[in-house]
Amino acid sequence: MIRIEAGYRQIWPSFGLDIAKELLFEQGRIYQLKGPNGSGKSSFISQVLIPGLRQHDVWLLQFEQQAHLQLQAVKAWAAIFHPGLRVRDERDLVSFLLDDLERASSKRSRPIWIVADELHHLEQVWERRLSCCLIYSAHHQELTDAIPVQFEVLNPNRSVVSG
Amino acid sequence: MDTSTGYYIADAAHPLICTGPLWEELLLCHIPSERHAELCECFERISGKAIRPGSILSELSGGQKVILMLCLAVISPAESICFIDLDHSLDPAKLTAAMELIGSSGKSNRWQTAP
Repeated sequence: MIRIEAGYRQIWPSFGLDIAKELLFEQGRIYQLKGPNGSGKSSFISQVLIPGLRQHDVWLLQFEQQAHLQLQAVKAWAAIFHPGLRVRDERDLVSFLLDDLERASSKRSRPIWIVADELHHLEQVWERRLSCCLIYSAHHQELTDAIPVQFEVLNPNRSVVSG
Repeated sequence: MDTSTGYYIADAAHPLICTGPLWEELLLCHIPSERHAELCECFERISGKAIRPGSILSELSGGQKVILMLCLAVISPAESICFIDLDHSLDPAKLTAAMELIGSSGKSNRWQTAP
């Protein structure tokens, strides 16, 4: 479980997030970060959630928003360490990283956390049925049993998060 | 896609080229200086966030970058635009506003979904 304390966080010089009450994310659950564009979902992921997860001994797989740079990096990685394997698009990227995660997890058991920011092929993650905590942000994809974490814009410089 | 027509590609997976000030992107997109104010107003109307030519693009959220990409495409001199995955990155209210802007632009447009 990861616990994120309530309180105000100055995420960027011109943007802050009010975490209205303590947020808890638990293994075995799916959480959807919901809210309009510019409400701070991606900032929450990169500046609060990921640093928080990195303080724990976990397997962490993060799918970045607008993942073309991640795709290029993984293409290069695959070309060097898995010659013959083609990573052509985001669908291949998801498969490749999930396979890698499963291999790593089978060698050493640690809690698995998967964070996906507007991932096109989110269903691929869900279909693997991994024992993990999945936290995702999406405008048009709803996974069954996902627990909503709501982001609301107070003004262009401030949003509030409520679990 | 009709290959005899040149399209301005507006791909939500790669919304902007620059990460520095907006004016760099304005130059790349051939937005004349007399239309800078119109572009900024268009962006603010859809996103709710004020912007100016000196604003730093890396400080925008992912969705705001996509909205800016849309405004740049519509205000650019391009006659035909190909939108790729525009709907994936925008919340329902902003997608509606985006569709209205595209509809009122009078430009021909195509839509694609990424593989």
